[in-house]
Amino acid sequence: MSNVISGHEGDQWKTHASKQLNYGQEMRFIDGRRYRYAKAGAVAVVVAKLYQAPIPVTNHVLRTPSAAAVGDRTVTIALGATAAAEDAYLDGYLVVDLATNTGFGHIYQIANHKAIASSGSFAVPLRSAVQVAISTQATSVSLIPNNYNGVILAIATTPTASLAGVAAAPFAIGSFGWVQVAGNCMCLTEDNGAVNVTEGYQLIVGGTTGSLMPQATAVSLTVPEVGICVRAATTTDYSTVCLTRIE
Amino acid sequence: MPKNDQSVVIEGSDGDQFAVHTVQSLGHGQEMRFPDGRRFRYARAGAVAVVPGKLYQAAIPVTNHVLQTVAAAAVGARTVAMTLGGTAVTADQYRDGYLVVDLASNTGFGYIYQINAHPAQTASSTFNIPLRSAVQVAIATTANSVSLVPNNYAGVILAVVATPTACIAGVSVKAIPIDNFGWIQIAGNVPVLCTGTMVIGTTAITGTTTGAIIAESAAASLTLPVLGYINRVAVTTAYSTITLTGLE
Repeated sequence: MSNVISGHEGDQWKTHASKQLNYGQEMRFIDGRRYRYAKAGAVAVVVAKLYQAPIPVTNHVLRTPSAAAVGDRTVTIALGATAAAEDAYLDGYLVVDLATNTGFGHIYQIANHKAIASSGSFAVPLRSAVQVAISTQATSVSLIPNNYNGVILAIATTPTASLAGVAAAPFAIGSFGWVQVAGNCMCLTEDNGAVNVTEGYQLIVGGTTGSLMPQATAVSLTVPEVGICVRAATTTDYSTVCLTRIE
Repeated sequence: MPKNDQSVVIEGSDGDQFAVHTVQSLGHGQEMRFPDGRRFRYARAGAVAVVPGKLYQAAIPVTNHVLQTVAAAAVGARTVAMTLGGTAVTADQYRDGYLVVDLASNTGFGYIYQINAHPAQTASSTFNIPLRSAVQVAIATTANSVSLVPNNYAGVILAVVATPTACIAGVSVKAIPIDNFGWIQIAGNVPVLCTGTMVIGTTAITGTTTGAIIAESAAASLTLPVLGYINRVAVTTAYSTITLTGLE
């Protein structure tokens, strides 16, 4: 069974009030357009704008875990002073990111979970077994949401999380729909100082929230490339863009 | 809910990339994937025959077919009537391509609709564009707000030197006569015409010779997409092997 859904024109506009697929489920069209299943974050998703993953929560990263042995299917961590909503980390990841923890460098996907109170003890359910024992090393384990669980408009100029893609259709706060990750789409574009939006040019995250602009300045060195302009619209309108670099 | 019924990707093997068809047998842009990571898309040659080992780009959007005015189209409509400018449309020129509402002043802005098979259309006439799906948000009669964009693989042409004029399509692997159909490589190892000094392991961009690549180094690199990495260096004006990574 393929992990990829074969879709057809029109499927990209379907939205759901309740979750029907895993976050990040891929849907692929014959012409190269690809989409991933996403949940809208705290603001409704609007069509043809660039979205990013939710920002990691400060009080949920670099936390201290209880010891977990090889084969364990839960890892308990002490949250900081921010509650975790039910399924906030469903399809997301527990990562051991300090080299001083014996279990460093491993990433485990998280299953569905209940809400956890601020500063509570979170027994994080994993989809697979712990591979290398995780020690009680202080502030060494983090929770990372799935890139498509609560997408938000891409922050202008300096992204604050991984890019998710371009919205194919609007969907309401907390509901579910498709974000495009490859192939031709429409996206808000703007000129970039000396360089106008031009067919064939490389586009990066723009200076306006949710937009793209031509790659031209030093910021290009730190901001990821997103795609190539297929048909240029006037600045602040919607260009046709071939997404090539999101994944 | 879309079904996980059959793959939209063809599983090919070495030799399949050399097939050429006189009539269209697949959708423009159909993907074919090899086990070694090479990937191809089904393309139609444009006004000049395709030759192997060169970089190709999409057809250039037609000035008289972009930023045109349409009749109102309601939610659920399956056709949109556009008044063309003074350039005719050939049969299926926009098949598998897109109708895009690119001005924010049109109520239907931001949506992209795929176009179905269509007959030829004379210059300055009304083109009833058949869509593959229904209009999602009503399209208004706002002047000069809707464009036709060909499929990236419908009528490929040699990549224009230095300053591209459309999205890069890929590298040709076999000669394809004018208006015939074949495969353009979009990922994995492929030999392609190069000019200048190439260095193994470094990145390549569109070159200063039509259909060629050059090493990424100059200011142009900021605006041009990286195409891939040099895998084996050939002498200038010969064919280096590159790993295509930047096309999709």
